[in-house]
Amino acid sequence: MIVTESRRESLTAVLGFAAIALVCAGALTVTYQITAPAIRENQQALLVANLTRVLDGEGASAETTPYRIVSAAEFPGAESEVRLFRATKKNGEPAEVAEISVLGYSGPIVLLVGFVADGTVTGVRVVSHRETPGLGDVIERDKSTWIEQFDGVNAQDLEDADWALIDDGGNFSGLTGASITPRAVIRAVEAVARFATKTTSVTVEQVNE
Amino acid sequence: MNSDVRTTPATGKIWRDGIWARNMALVQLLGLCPLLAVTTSVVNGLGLGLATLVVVTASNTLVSTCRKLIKPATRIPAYVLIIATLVTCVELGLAAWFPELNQRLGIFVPLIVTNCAIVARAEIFASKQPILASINDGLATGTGFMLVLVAVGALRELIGQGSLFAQLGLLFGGQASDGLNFADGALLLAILPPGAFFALALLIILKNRYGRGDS
Repeated sequence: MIVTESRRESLTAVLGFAAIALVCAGALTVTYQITAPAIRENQQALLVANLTRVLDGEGASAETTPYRIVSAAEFPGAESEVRLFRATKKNGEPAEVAEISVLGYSGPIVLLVGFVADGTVTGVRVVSHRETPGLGDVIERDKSTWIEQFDGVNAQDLEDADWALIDDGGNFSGLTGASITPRAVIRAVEAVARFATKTTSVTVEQVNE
Repeated sequence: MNSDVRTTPATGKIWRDGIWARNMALVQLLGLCPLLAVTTSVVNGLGLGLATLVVVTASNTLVSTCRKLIKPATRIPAYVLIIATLVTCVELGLAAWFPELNQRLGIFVPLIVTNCAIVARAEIFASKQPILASINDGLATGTGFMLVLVAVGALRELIGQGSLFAQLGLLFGGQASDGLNFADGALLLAILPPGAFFALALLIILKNRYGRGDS
């Protein structure tokens, strides 16, 4: 008697829970179906906006799937493999954008670095980071123009020692209260800029042959 | 069952308790994890506050609707399941329709799952009360929580950045405005994590000093 009573009780508990689980699963499915296209669109739009920002702004275009993925070994300081995107500047000049991740003060900083055929950097933007608000987050273009000092940089014009903060004897201005963050950004830009001149010199050689 | 014996509080009392006398954040000190983490500005506080308000109201509604289905043995997993589902839906909705806000609050919205205040409302109120009262309770406690989030955000933004209501456009569309700007770069500490504790402590002090007798 007691056994059947408790059995019936647990059965109703389980059935009730199963009904709730079913409703939840249904709600999730419907929400996912409704939102999925918009989310995909947003991610593409965000990627395109970010890619054109490191070129010469609106009017520039970029492919949203990388045409090449290079191992981190070729980019000193890179945290993970670097994705390369084909792009075109406003004036039709072909360009490329590299997505590189370096270690900052409190986690990875993901940057996009645009460059053209002769290895000149067209622009740099931070895609994501976890640097200290008010100190390290000044690397965001929304917060300051600091990141614009890399526009037009070419690795062929710079000595090894130039790739450093002015305080460290280099060419680039720093940030108040943060040194690890700007050093990480410089390392990322340096790696991409060197890669840019290297790859272009390779293609030039191939053309000469 | 003794749960049905409980009387349903009047709407006025539900709102007084939710917003002031038993405020989730200031009196019950629940849900402090998202509160302390996100409130670096008014817009962040308001964003998470609105998301929490939606989740707690919807969670109360669902838990109250299903309260005959939820047996004591399975009640905690049932609450967790309902809340996790709702948070996921809110997260997907934010990503789909408010992408910029989602970028700012993205990592914090899942934190709502860990907001014990929402489970607390389910356990204390919604599982024992009719649907309408539960909706009211969700709205009231959610609003109370949101007001604290906005207040802490305002305090930290004002002291830390010298501005108020900056980038409110992220929430309501339109141009990204700078809000009111009083000073350039102020006391950074307010925006850093310790600032959250100071700001909340200040509000609790004020509440205890001037809010006596209501509860």
